[in-house]
Amino acid sequence: MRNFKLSVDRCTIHDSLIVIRFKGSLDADRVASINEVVNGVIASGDFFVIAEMSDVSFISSPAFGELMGCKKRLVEKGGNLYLVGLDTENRAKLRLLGAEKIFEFLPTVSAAVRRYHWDNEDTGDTFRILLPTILSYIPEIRSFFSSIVRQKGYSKRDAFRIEAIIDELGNNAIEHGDPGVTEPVEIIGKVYRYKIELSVANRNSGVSQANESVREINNRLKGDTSFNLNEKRGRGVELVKMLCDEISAAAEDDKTVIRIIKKKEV
Amino acid sequence: MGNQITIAFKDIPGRADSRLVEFVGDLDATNVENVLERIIALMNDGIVRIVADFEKLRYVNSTGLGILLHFSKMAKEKGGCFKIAHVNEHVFEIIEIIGATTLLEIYDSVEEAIGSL
Repeated sequence: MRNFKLSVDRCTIHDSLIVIRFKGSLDADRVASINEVVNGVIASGDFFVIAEMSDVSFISSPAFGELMGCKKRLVEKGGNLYLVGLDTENRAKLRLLGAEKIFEFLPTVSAAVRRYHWDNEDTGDTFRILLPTILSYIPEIRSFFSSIVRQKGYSKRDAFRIEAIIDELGNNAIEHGDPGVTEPVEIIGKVYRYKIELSVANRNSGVSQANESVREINNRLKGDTSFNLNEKRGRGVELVKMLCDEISAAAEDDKTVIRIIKKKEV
Repeated sequence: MGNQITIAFKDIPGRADSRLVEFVGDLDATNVENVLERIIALMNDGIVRIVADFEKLRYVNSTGLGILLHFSKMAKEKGGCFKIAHVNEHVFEIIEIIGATTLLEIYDSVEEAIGSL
C-alpha cells in the first residue's frame, strides 16, 4: 500500500472553512478514508471544505469519483468543496475525466478563500484608479476594467458595456473638468457577483462650478434638457444612461461625482 | 499610450466616385480627428460614395458615433452616401441604443452595401 496521509484543520484565513490536507497517493483503496473524513466534517456542521492537494502524487479514478460525491453532498448542504494545489500532471489527468465541469482548480488556500468570499459573502472587490487628465490614458483604463469584469464571470456584452461606460464618464470628467486642475480623475469600481458599482469623480475650480455641472447633468438625466443626436454635447451621458441600470450625479465639495450601477446580465 | 485605429482605402471596381474603407481597431475620442481628416479629404477629392467595412472595428464610443453621423450628413450634402457594413453586435448595440440606426445606412455585408450604391 502506497504512502497516504490526511489531516483536518480549521482554515486559519477564514474560520468558516475546513482544510483537509491530502499527502501521498490517493489510490482506489483510499475511497473509504476520504468518505469518512468528509462525512465527519459534515456531521460537525461544516459545509465548506478546501481539499489541499499540493503533496498528492497520484489520484485514482475511484478517489476522484469519491471527491465528486463529497462535493455533491456538501453542495446539497449549501456548501462546497474547493480543490487546491493540484500539480500539472494531476490537473491534466482530471481534465481528461471531465473534472473542470465540476471543480475549479485553484492554486492556493488563499485563492479558495477568495472564491468562498465571492460565492457566499458578496462583499465585492474594489478597484481604484487615478486617471491623469489626458484622454490618451482612457483606452487602457477602460480595457482594464473590462478585463476585470470578464474575470469575475460577467458576459462579453456586460464587459463591453462597462468599457463604454468607463470611456464616456472618463472622457466627460476630463473634458468638462476645470482645465487648470491637474488633479487626476478618480475612478472607483466595486464588482459584486450580480452588479457593478462605479463612481467617477473630477475636480472643478470651485464648489459653485461643481454644483453647476451637477445641475446640468441632472437636467439631462431627468430629460429636462432635450437630447439631440446631432449635437455633440450630451451624447455620452445619454449613452451611459441607456447602458446602466441606475445613474446619479452629486456635487461633493468642489468635485462632480457620477455614480452608476450596472446589474449583471442574466 | 493611446489607442490605435487603422483605416485602409480600397477601390470598388467600376465606381470611380466610390471607395471601400476598412476600419480596424477602436474608434474613440483619442483618434477621431485623424479619421475625420482622412475621410473628409477623400470626400473633398470627389469620392462621395463610401462603404465603411466595420468587420474589424471592435469598439466605438459616442465621439466616434458623432463623426459617423457627420460623414453620413456630409456625403448626402455632396450628393453621395456613407454606408456601413458588417457591424459587430456590440458596436451595433451602441449605435442602436443611441438611436442612430435611423440616421445611418447599415448593411449586413460589404457586398450588400456595395450593391446598393
